[in-house]
Amino acid sequence: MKRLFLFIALNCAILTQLLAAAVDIDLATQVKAAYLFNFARFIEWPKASADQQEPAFNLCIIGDNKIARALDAAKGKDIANRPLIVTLLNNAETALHCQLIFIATPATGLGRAILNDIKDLPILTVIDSGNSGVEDGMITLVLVDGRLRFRVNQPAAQRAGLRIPAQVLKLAENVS
Amino acid sequence: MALIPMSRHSKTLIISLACWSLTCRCAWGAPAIDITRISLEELVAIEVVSASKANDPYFQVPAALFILTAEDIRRSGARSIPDILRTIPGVQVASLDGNKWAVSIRGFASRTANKLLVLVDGRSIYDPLFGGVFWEANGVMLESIERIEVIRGPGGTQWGVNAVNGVINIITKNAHLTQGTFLEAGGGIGESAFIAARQGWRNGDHASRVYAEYTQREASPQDSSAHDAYEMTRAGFRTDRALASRGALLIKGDVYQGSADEFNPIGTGQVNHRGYNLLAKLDFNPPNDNKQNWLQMNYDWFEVDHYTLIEKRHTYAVEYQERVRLGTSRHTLNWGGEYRYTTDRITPIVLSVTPPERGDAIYSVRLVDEIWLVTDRHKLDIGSKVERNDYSGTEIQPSIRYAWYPRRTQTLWASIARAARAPSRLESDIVFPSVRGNPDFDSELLTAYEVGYRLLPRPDLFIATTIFLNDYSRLTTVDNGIITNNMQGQTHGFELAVRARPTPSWGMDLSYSYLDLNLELASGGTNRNQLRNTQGGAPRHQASFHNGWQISPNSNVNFTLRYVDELPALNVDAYAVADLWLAWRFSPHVEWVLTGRNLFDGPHYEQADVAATRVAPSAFLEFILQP
Repeated sequence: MKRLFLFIALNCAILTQLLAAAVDIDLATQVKAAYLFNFARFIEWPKASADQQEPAFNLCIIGDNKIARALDAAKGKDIANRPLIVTLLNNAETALHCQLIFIATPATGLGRAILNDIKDLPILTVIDSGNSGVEDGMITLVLVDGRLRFRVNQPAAQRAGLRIPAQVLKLAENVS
Repeated sequence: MALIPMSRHSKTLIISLACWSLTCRCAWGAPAIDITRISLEELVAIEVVSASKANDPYFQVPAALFILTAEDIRRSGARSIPDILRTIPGVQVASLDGNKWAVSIRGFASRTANKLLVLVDGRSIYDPLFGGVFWEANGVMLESIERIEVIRGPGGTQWGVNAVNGVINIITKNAHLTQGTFLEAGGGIGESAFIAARQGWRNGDHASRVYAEYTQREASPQDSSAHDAYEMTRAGFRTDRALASRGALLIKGDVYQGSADEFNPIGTGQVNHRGYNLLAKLDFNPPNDNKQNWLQMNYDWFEVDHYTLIEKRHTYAVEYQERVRLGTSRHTLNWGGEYRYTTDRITPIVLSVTPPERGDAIYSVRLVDEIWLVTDRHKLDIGSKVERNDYSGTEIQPSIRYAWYPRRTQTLWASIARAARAPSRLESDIVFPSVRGNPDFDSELLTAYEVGYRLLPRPDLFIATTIFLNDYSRLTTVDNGIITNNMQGQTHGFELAVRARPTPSWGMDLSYSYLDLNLELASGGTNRNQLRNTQGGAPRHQASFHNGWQISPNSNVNFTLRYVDELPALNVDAYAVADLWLAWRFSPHVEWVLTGRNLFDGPHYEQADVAATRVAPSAFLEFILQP
């Protein structure tokens, strides 16, 4: 019996080790992360805004830890001469330090509160419409034909002083 | 409560298995993408949800549609398109020998299975000479296939004549998704040796790729009478460009040359194939606009040097299709037209045709209205295709399809459709001592009734079932040496597909097909032999089970069990075999794949053609390099 337990324990230990490094990030999450990185690279933030004084480009995530992990590969990459850092947000106050906020759960109280608090600030909001149907980000990720596409709310971005270049707009599924 | 006695070993095994399943959280077949390098153009094109999800439009299609993804194709371990199709419900695939297959949907399998339309990126690879597909000549680099859509049942309204029992649509990847270098080589026992290379590059919105592959196979060793050596060289390109209008332009082409040996009763024949094709497709609007329209043109030339005759054929085709939602109304119109001109020159050896040269035009128009009777709940598709060809004149192929979506996770559909299979060139024009063509031979007709149900009871479980009744008339027969329309009758069947993904790293697919043919000779028909062979030439039961397990981020273990019932009229026994596929990613750039096919059964026949060779277990090793 002792040997049996030893065998099982060993088996489990090996497996846990083996799988600790496992890439448990699904394709959709990777694609979302890649979208965020591309938006950070291409979209232009207003030069004069106070947050330009921040030493790093702060990409904030609400409600999806997996995206934060998928973004590991992008950490420290150069975004307009600033290194990219990824922060998981759990309160509305710190949101003001972000340049880009990804809200995976826009229908929750926190999601709503943050969207409300940062309205018209130069912070790019990207929303995962998921099953919530909420689409009031400057950019909303939507699932169409099995592909993740994005919709752009151009007036909202313009009010915040963000410039979305044509090369991004032309790939949008819809521009309002 | 009764306790089942358990040995210590089985307890160990069960606990270990539990431990494995608890700890294994890795992604099910999710290919890793480099999120810092991938472009927006690529991102919008990536399919993140497989066909098994409810929010996928495929889930709502009112037809028996089955999608094989690139990942399914890889995990099957198959090296040819017919072998890939084996696990799809309702599809019958039988090897005739090492380089030839009989592929059919819902019965009528033979080398010249003719009630099936096969397209590669919208280009038909159906040979109008005999009304079938030379699978051995029409390959596609497997790594470049994005998906294979198989529609069982009449596709006449959408696809036109010959889409009688179904349509197989092979769709290759957008060039944006095949960037960089891909090298692959493999070989083994009882299988082809192959080497393939692909290079992709991109310049802004414009992506391209080129590829070349070489395949070589020795004659099957298990049968001394086998004459099925095979050699094929293929090369091609594809270029995709996003247009300023938000549309897209695709241009692609292939060239091939090779030989596929064939046993023949009057000697041994080397059959040479060569050909090339060019296709351009212009999508005027991005997908998901209220209006989608595209224009496609293609040109195709090929030559087959068979021991019975030499066929040389040019085909030109132009097609325009449009799908447009009428304002905010309940109607979406699908309409389009196609013109195709095919010209051949047949050099007789054993068989001859009169006239030896012939050019035929086929033109068609199509109109289908998709109507939401109740928005998001009840939908009706109603329409018809009208086609004119030089053999049987005008063919009208209407269909009516109804779908009910009681919930987002359920689709119930029913359809009635009519389809026609136009006479082939041989059926009309062949001259041979024992068979003569018949210019009055008319098209084969089908009226099909189908009911289907798709269900997603949980996000990780997908179930699709279809029941069909096919009513055929004017089926082809040879009576007293003349090709006639003297067979008719009904077939019915049931098809089931189940896809389960119990954990992100574990997937199972199950498929089952039941098929029953009740055919009879029409008044005046005499060929009982042909009736018996057609009737008893399709397996009544077919089943497959696939289990795929990603045991670590870098290694995959997959097996497939396949069962095919006997073909009583052809004296072909039932068989059950297993395929095994093991992949190990040695580094981000290097992967080893070990495949075993047709395991656990000795050499067996899958078809009874004069040229048939037994299928034997095979094993091969493959090496993939992506620097």
